[in-house]
Amino acid sequence: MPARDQRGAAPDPTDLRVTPPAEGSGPVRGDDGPHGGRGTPFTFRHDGRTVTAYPGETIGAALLAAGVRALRPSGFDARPRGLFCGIGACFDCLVTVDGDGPVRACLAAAAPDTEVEVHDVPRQR
Amino acid sequence: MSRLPATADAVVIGAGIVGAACADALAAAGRSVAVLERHALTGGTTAAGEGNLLVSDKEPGPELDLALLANRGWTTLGAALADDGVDIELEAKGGLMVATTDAGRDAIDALAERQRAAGVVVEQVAAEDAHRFEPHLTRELTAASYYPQDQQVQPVKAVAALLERARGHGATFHPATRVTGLHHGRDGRLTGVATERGTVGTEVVVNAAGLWSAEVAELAGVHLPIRPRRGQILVTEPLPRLVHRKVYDADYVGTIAADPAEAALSAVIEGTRAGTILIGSSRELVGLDRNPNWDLLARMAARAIDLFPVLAEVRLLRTYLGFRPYPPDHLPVIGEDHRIPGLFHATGHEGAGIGLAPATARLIAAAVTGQRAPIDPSPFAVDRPGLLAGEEAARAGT
Amino acid sequence: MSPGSADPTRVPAVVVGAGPAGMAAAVALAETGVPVTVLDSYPHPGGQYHRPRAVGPGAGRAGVVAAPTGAGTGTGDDPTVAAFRHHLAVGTVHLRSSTTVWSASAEEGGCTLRLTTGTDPAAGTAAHAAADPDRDAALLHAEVVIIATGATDRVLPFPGWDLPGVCTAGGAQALLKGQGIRVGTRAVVAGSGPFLLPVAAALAEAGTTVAAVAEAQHAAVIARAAPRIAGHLDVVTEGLGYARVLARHRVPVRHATAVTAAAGDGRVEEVTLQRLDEQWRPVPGTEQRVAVDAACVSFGFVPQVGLPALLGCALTSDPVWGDPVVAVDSHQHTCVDRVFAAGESTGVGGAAVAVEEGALAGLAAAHALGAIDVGALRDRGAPHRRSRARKQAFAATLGRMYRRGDGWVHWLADDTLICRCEEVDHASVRHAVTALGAVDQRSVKLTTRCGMGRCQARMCGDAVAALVAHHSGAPADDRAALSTPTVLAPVRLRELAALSPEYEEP
Repeated sequence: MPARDQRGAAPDPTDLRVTPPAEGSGPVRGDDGPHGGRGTPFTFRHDGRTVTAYPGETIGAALLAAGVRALRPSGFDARPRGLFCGIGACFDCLVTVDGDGPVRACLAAAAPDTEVEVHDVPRQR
Repeated sequence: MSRLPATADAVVIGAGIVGAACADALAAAGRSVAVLERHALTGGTTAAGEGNLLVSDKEPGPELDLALLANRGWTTLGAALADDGVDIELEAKGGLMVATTDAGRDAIDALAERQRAAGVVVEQVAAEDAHRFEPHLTRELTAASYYPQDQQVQPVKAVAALLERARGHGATFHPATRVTGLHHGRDGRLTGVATERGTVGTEVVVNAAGLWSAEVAELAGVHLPIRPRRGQILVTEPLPRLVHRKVYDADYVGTIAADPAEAALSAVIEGTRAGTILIGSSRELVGLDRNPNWDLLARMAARAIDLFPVLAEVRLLRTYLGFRPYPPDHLPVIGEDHRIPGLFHATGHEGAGIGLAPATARLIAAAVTGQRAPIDPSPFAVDRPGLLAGEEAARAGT
Repeated sequence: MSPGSADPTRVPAVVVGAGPAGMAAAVALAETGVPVTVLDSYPHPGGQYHRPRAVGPGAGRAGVVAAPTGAGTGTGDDPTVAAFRHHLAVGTVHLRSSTTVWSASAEEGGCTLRLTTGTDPAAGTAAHAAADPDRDAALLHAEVVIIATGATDRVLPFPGWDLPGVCTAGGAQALLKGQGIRVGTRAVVAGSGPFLLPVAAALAEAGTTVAAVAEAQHAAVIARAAPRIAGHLDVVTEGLGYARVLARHRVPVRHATAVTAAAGDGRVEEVTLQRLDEQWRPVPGTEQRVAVDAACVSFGFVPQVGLPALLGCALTSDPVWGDPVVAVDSHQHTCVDRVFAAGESTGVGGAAVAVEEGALAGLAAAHALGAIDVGALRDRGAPHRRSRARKQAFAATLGRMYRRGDGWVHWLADDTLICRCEEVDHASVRHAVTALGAVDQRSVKLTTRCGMGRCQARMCGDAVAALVAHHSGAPADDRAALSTPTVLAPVRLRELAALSPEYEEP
């Protein structure tokens, strides 16, 4: 993620993170940039690169915001798969976290300093 | 699918593995064959099986003779189909029987000795060497023996391939065609099969209806003591290959013959080509109840973890259950019914129907065409002591 | 989980699912004085409708929505959400979040529920779960169970639907509402049903260029049923609100149009929009390619009936959609003693119907436990029964407006995946039906592996049923009669083994 913390900068059209509105109608607390109110960012590793995430984000959401859409190759034909149902029903978005898993990236919360790896289990017909 | 023929040389009832093999054998012998199936192919026991083609789990005797014949039959069939470009996932993966107790060790060794005498290839494996066959196997074994003849097949693909081949020889297949009656003439000989969709005139009916074979026999007015004996299987998520062969707990063999009134289990673990691991097996007489027995499933999982500790963290994706057609004396029923000329039974294989199908088909084809059978068929006859009489005795006793 | 934890923790009442129906049920029960345990798969209550924002201020509070308009759905001042929060705060409702029922059985005197816990329940280890004394109980025995398991998006397969960037409309909305993340910068929203509009509006408001909303249904078909909804002013107003948002963002809404293909190198880069005839057959020559980095698709919702089926509840075919749904009586009682169901699992009717059904289920469960008498059941239930009837009629009208045509199967290519998990393509399914005689869904599954994978046919079951009917020429099977999964969510083998008293951890 490029650093974007200058107040008042024009929104980056490629940035998929939306500034969350405040609870109720008051001003956004802690609004200090395009990701204001999200809290203190942290990083985890994914497939050899560093990914920024904010507290409460799922692994899938953080990866999507970082431009990672293809999460794993399918077992039989090695076709790329990403977030599909987004609610834990389809099992397309499987990843491995610190060697454990697979877990569903759309549900599992991103955690600092974890190693998220591609879940790649080739299968034979 | 296709319209019912007015007549056929033979009608096979049931499109499971036994029916498909019989249809294939009869069609190959030049008979016109119609296969009638009340649902769709493999609607009964076949699809609930693991595709085991085992010699290792059988004590010397008629069933082992049948299994050895069938084992060669599968090898031949697999090669012939492969030549035609048809894959049934036949794999001579071999079986490893293991024990974790002293009693288990004694049982394994004694069984191996008896089986060798009957022609089974059994390799003694030192307990400490078993992990060379299976790297993830527990190191706490007391004994192991390896059965290179044990094979595996994908049963649904096998049925589809056999039916396809039978059709190549002119057979017709009729799914969603329930048999409603068996007609016979004054002399008692069969004359035709009535279905919901019409009647097929025939003098030969092969009852390969498995779980429903007793019902089919009933249509001809005769009793056949085949009951459902339930089994359950655990299926894991797809994994890189962790289990390479079929691995059985030593008490597997004991379980098959165990007191049928008791729920019995023993671990049978194997990997599949699609990456899932199948964990069996259990045996229960609970009628056609489809509610899983979670107590048994939990014990199966626990025993599997005992043998393969790595499985503890592996995820269970699903379970399934099936009903084995179970005769009271544990032997399949293969041959013409002495009470109804023209009615041939090919049923009662319990959990071994897939393994025994090619040999069963050969015995049926020999019986129908009047040729010499490759092995003595008399132990499987309907009028053997222990089948009908055994049932009557059991009834009288209750 | 402790080894040998074979004895269940006993509670009087369990509600499964904390969406609108589950929250309403829990509230109704709690108000009769019955302590309620609510199990929910997600980290925060609310379900898909009141999906709470998981990031930023107020994270985790149901009803706080992240989408700038709050489009689509739940708002913070929803009375059910407020009442549920109150009962959580005073402890009359106990919520176990991130907890999934992976298996269950009905017995004499109640139900045993087998649970797995974790942020991703499949992760099992509950690394992020809050410390909670009975949170680790893997076995729960409840005297009454209320099922409020909701629904998932229905997606009809099309070439390229497995490409990253193609997602369900519900998934796109969940990302936006729960995570404050847009699914893409330039998207189409396609499929059928009233749900497309709020999703498209929310994406547009969040800054995504929505290149088109493609509604498969013909405008004339919708218009024919429209007079029947004119009386539902709130809903009409809501719909007009989305239309205004879309107009402001110049989002074209096309009827009789579907995404019939998606293409791209490793991710979706363009979709094909194509006109449909009245039977939803694609009209040749009308293809139009649109560059996008996301395609959000939904054809309504499929009720989640795995748990009720496992408990032995009779299922029936939804009269509008044909999906298997739980059969319930006027008290939301299933055919299994002391098991109730409410919300989408009994037929898709939307959140407004779900809360009425939830309240009725809660009252009926309270009566079953002896907490209220018949008179109270009747009196307190009366207003809910009236609203339920009115709203169910409305939901049925919506179903007729968006009833799908059979012609969609014509946009499938031979190599279009039908089953995403087991990667079974259309040609294989067709071969199974036409050549192998696999003339029902079960035998298609057995011959092709279609539906055998991790999602347990949640994604493909509906499409397979349609394809079996299409290729066999027979009417669709009674899907309600099909066997259902015995394992509702992946669970570690050691968690299963631990149900056996003899099990010792290796």
